[in-house]
Amino acid sequence: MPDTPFCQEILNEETVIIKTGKQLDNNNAHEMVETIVSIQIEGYKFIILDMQQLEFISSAGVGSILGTIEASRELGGDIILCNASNSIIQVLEVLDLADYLTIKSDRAEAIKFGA
Amino acid sequence: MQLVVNKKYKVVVPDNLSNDNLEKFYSNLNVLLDKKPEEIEVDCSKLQRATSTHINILWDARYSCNEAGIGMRLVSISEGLVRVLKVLDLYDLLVEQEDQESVSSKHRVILKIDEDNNVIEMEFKATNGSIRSGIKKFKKFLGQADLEEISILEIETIFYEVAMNISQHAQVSDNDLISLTATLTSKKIALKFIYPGVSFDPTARVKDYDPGAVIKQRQKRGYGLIMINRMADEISYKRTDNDLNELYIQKYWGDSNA
Repeated sequence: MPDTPFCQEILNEETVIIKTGKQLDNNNAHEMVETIVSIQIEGYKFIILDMQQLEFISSAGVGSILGTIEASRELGGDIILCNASNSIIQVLEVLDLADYLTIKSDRAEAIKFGA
Repeated sequence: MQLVVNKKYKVVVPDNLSNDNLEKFYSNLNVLLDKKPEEIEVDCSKLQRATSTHINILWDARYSCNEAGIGMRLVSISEGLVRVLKVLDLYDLLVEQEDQESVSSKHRVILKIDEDNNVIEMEFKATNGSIRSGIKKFKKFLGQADLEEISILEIETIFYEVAMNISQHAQVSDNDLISLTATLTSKKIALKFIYPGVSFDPTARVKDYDPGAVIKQRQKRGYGLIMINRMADEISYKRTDNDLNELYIQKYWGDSNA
């Protein structure tokens, strides 16, 4: 696992969970990209982004997710968002992303999707 | 005679950034935040190096404390860490007590609020630290209004994205000031940003946007202006006679565009 500020948990041989902090913005979006790419390179198909703590996401934060999803999907997996607050989801909906992102209410639902 | 012990609320930054250590750090920090002390000490004595990850931990701690209205003080900072923070332009923000008038004014936001608390005027530098400081003060100003959480988040996002775009695209220097006048009524907020630099019209740069296509193209950047334009209800730009840029944004809430 890469040495990054984002807590990571290997769930099984196909799935890793990343916990975001309170903000995902220009200050740390590039590190989110590095974290996701490193996990993808290691062959994990599903990445669950647990957003329970997330209070602010900037365009760079959104970009860190949008720019890396396709690689997971090409592996037959996905990046699954879970535990996002209604406000964060509404920010994503501003960009019409609800139909393009896999968003689950909690970890259990996200894990079930990846199973 | 009762001995009063001044209790310190302290969290130690780990040198080894294992998942367990990171979990423990954030867990300890959250426990302290829940206690709502006046100040939390972030102890850097264990740090034998200062990687970007360590810096992000310190940034997270600062952000969390700011959000909770709690002071944060770094203690036992090595010279190496001081150097790294200064190189990253984060020293004043993370180490200095920004609300004390005596310290460096590098990130200080010049602030003026009218008697009725309806208008705020502020100036901040086009740096990440100064923009963050500005947003912190701006959110306090917004706090007086009875706004839904999503409205506050959208206004904060507009502020952040506008300031970041100016910082990145208007060719301003770190010493240039961005001026913001925000006028709050019961139905809307009006934001007027005035900034130097080259002519930079954020409204003219919004491209067609197809979520499916940008995902396929693995596009990581270029969403800020789209977010601004979609979150704001009205947006206009003009180049002033004295070679400044003026961006005017309005956002309404409730069921009226009054």
